[in-house]
Amino acid sequence: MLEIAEKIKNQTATEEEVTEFTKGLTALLSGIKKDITK
Amino acid sequence: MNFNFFKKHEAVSSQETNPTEEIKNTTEPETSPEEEISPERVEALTEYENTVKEIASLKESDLKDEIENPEERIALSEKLTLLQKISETVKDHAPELAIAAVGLGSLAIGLAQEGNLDLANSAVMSAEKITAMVASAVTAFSAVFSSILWSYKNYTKEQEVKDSFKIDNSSHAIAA
Repeated sequence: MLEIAEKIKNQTATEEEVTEFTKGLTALLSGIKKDITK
Repeated sequence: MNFNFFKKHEAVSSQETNPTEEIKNTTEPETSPEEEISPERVEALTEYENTVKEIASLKESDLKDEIENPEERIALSEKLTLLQKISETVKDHAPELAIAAVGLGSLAIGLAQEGNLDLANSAVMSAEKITAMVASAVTAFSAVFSSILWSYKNYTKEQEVKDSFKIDNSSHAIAA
């Protein structure tokens, strides 16, 4: 995750990496949401 | 720093949902290959945005009922507030690195809750590294992340107390 974030910052991330990064963020946020909601 | 993470998506989405707009744009210069967005990325971004919207619309009444401990409930409310702040940050700035740091901070809390303190510490260190990178770019973010770190440290402290209690119990058991 951190490696991809650095690549995005340097604008060297590939399309696949950005997609993977986005999916990772979604998983993190939805996981937290599940933890705290009914 | 590339802050067009979501703007590009919006452009693609509007083209997809509005065929007439697409036709109008055929006279414009073609997008260079490096700016093209794959359908997989559009799908991932749509899912991400939907999740962010869902979080932004959560209310206090949506929190788990079974949590009766007032302190724990306050902690959950704080988490909810943080998540909504994340949503605002995404909406206003879309700074992907800041989002990554917030995600890692949240992950750290989850890991600490599960007692996985080594991994939680690693996540916090990564998040701090990213925070340093984006500190000058996103001013509102630092307050959000500070709150997350505060929550994480509280969880860690509670976990350490619980762990020490377990050790005391086991030593009593051996003694008995």
